[in-house]
Amino acid sequence: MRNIIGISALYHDSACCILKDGKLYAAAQEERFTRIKHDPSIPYNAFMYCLQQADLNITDIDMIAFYENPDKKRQRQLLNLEGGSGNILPITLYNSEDIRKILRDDLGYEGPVTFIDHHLSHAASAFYFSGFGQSAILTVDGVGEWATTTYAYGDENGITPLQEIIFPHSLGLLYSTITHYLGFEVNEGEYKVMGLAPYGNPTFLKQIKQVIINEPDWGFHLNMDYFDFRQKDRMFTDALVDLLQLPPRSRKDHLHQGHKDLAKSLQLVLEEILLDKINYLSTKTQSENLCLAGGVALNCVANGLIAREGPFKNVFIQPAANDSGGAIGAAAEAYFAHHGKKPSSEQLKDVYLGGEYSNQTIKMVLDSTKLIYQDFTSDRLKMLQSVAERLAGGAVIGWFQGRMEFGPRALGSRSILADPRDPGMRDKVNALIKKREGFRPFAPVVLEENVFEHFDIRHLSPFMLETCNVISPLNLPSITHVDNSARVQTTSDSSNPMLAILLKEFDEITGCPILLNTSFNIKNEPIVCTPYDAIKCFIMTKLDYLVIGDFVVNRDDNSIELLEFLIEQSYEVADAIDYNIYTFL
Amino acid sequence: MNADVIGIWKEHQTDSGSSYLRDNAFQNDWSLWADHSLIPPKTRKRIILLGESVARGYFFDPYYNPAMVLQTLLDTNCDEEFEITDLAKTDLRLVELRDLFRESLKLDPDAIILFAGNNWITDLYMSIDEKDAENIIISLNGKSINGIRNFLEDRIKNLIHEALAEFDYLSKENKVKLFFIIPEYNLADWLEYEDHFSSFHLTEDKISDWKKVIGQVERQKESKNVLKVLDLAEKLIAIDPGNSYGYYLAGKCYRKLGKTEDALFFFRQARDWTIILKSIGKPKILSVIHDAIISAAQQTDISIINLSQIFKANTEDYIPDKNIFLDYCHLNARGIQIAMSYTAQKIISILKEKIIPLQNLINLSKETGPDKKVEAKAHAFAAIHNAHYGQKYDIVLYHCQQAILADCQITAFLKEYAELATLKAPNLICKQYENIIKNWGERQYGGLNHQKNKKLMDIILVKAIIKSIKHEYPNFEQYIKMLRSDQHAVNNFGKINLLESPYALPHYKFFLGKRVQFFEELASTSSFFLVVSKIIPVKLTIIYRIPDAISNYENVRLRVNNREISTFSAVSTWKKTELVISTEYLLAGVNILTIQWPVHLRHSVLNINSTIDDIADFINPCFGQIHEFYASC
Repeated sequence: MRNIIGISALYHDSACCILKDGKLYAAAQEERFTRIKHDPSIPYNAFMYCLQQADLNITDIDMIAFYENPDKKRQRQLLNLEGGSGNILPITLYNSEDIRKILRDDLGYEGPVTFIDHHLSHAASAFYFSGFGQSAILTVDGVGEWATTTYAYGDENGITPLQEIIFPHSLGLLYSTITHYLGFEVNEGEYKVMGLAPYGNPTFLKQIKQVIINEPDWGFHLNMDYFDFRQKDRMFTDALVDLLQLPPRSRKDHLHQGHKDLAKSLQLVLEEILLDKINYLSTKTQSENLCLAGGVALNCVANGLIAREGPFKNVFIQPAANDSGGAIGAAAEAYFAHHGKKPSSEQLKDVYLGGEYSNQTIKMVLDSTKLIYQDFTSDRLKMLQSVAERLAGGAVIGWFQGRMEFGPRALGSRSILADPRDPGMRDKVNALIKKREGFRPFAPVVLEENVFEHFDIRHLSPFMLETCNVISPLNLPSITHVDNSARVQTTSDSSNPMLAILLKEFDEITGCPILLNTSFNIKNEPIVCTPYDAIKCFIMTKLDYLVIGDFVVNRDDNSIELLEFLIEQSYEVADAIDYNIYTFL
Repeated sequence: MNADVIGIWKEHQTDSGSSYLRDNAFQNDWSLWADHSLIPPKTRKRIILLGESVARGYFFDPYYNPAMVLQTLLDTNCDEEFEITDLAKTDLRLVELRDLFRESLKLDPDAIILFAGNNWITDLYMSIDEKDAENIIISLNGKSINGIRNFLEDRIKNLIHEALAEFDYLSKENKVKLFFIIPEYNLADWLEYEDHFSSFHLTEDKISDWKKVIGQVERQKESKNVLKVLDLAEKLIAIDPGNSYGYYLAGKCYRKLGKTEDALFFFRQARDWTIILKSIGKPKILSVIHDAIISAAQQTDISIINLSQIFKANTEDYIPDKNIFLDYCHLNARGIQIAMSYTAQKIISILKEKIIPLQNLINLSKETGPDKKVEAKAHAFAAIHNAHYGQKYDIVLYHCQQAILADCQITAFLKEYAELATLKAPNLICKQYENIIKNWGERQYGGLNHQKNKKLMDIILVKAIIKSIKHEYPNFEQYIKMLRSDQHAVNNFGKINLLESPYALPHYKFFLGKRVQFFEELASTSSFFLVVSKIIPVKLTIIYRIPDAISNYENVRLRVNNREISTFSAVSTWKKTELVISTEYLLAGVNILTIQWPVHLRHSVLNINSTIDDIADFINPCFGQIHEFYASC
């Protein structure tokens, strides 16, 4: 059992990874290739990419590990539908034989398939890549088969479940319900609710605590008077509207203070419950280490609190904590089941697991266009110095370098970079480039050696998964949120040498070793994958420069009106999910 | 039906009555429709034109189209009594036509012209769902090819009778005269039958006979012995009366022999048997559709204008071909002029009760245009379209040459397009694409940008362009060789994925039913392009399978530039094979790798649980699948 493919699919954010002799060679989300945001389809393109990256072919694959158990999930789906009537959510039911057939038909795969429970996949995605010999493990999301939250303990004997909370009682579903209530997109707008919370006051704490009731030890439950997860177009009942005395916001409505207060209240209750559960988990496991995964583990504010105030000395959060990371966990668990040992004893150092493009390929694409560009292939340092100067001068840069990141975050391979000191930069990037809501904060990327000087954090943060306070002597308005927090990413020569040099050069010019870093995409599109995607995104936005491989395209050097028009004419937003509801059924 | 909308036009009240403005909400669809922003209030007798791309004058529209020609003919002969309101739409299906017909009555027409039928085969396929599976299995009666054809033909006849009855009812209720132009098909010069082979209804012996005869046909291809080829064609028909290829060959032979009626018969048979193919050819008016329209119309007051008869009456030794068509169904300028002259004559005879001599109308129609530049572009676009949909070099070259004959400045466009096709980058961002849009526009043809991830190298088209513009650009061939080498040569990149579209897709293909994501071949041969700029040994790595292969299958054969270099065993599970092409087999430039899949009796069976996809696979099984195919050096 040398080569194992991990797959998460048929829900949202489908992904594929490959473990070759236990080493994670490659992982990618299908949406990056198909350009369909949250693409749930069987990840054929990601699968082919993984094979190619690992220098393997389909005949070399010993097993596919699928990230959930369809038979168990189907039981829950059928039971949940019982008794429902009227505006019921349409669903597609799969059993394990269906999944085997789909994998045979869509990937051409002829070998064995193993099914790993959804939350075990999440747990494995964190523990087996944490580098910890033993650890407490917490997974929290909307729902898997039945479980919505699991507590476990991992050591050399694998992962031992301790307890689970099952559907419909779910922190993830609570968060998604309020996300929808606030007029944001479910499975997408949770970040926005988190970003909105610091603008509010916790005036809805009492009501939220009537909706979710914390219990001693492991437990909590939702008061189901306020929820209806079977409906086609909303997840809450009229009772919730009555309770909150705040009308549900539609997407077009302006945000007012009540919405911000509700977001704040929700966030605080989430943090309180998570912290409580983590304390209990610590008591039960007596471990110094904690692994976190599941969609709720992308809540950076809660993660920051857990790291700062929780009982654990060391915390590892799977960077692809959402369902795409389930692919990695499923493969790792299948590896453990067969070999009786963890695939890796080291902590995951980076998530640069996607495809990359040579200068030869990039140049060929650029030469096909009318774009005028500068070629720095003979002097990369000069390019980085020049880019740093332009950033210091207020330019916003599209940065396309090396292997693409796996997971939801852009961590310096497919990023938009800008000067964090510029007070107008946040509005500029939000409005002109990302074309998104103005209140949303941007994250900083900082050199490892400088992080503690500028941010109140006790450890490195290579995956941008937690917030901390900004303590910098510098004024950093465009990456500092209204509550003085920032979602910091650390980087180094070893993890991302190009970005590290750029930060050093920027520091040299400005005395600031920090850049604003956000994902290289525009609203409603997946992060760019290929040089073609990068050029299209550069043209469609108001980015000042595109730094792609060792080439730099300056917007001012180019007349791009016709190209912009042509791309706009061909522009189609493709999205795979319904944003009104958590399509967990 | 939306109360205030007709197609993409939305009602607005003005002082002089209701007008309809093109609605921004439908902006993505505008290019599919007749290109006008306003339908003004009625001021003259109104004749509405409803129809498909053929009614739009595809390749010419919006600069020249049937509505314009008809308007001129009616204005000149009826003192501007009529106005034509053009509501034609590309890709219009029968179900949409029915909606549009109802909507268009809001314009208070005096007459409606329907010019449609080519796309109705899509309505047929779309009408089939899982509820039909059992009936289709029964109609197959084990392995009856006539059974499935009858099932499909009965279904489309019903759809047509139902639609025409509704048109007739509505037109009578609204006192609207109704005219139906039945399209014609390019029988002789549109080829989509080669390589198709469905063996579900054949015995092992018949399959063996087929292979023998096909081998003889191949050997006779260059021969001038028409009678010998005809004999082979008839053998093919006798072996497999459900395969179009034998009929098509026979049609060609009879044409060469000057037997027009026989040629027409066999060409039509070739076209009509495509109804059972899983691969969707381009739109076409099948005999069953043609006949059903006539039969349904006989029970109504609908006046028929039958292009098949009209062209025949106007052309010596008439067989529909490139002299009337730009592709499978779209008419060239001459075709539009003849068709609209007859239509005008019919309309005037019924609405004005007077007869205008046809020749007068035809002569007048010739004066309507098109502009030479527009005509040149129409042929240039037709060359691209023909090449993109699998047509042979000769016909592609013909359209390139016709384009230059119309306007020699089109050579600059052709040159730009050849460069664009040779680049590996997606068309949308290429400088040549920008130049083409800027200098020539794309309003006449929407196919200049390729489908997502399906860029073609357009080998045949580029070859035809090089030949056509050689006089003006004598060094262009050399330049293209160099550019192709830079962009595609395996020795420049070390490794090339031959399953990428420029190498694996000689042209676009469409299929019914569920498709796998990896390479699947529904014909007996697959072709790939391999570019080398330096003659050195090239290693091929292929992972392939034939899903239902059993031990007695013949081997898979690999040819390089028509010379066999290797055979692989036919296996039903993925098998990796590596081989090296030695230098003696390779040419500098484009090499053609051909995989010949074994043609064998298929052993799959249908049962009570079979789905429509299963049935489609049963009738048109795949010959081979490839998971990876790399060239490296």
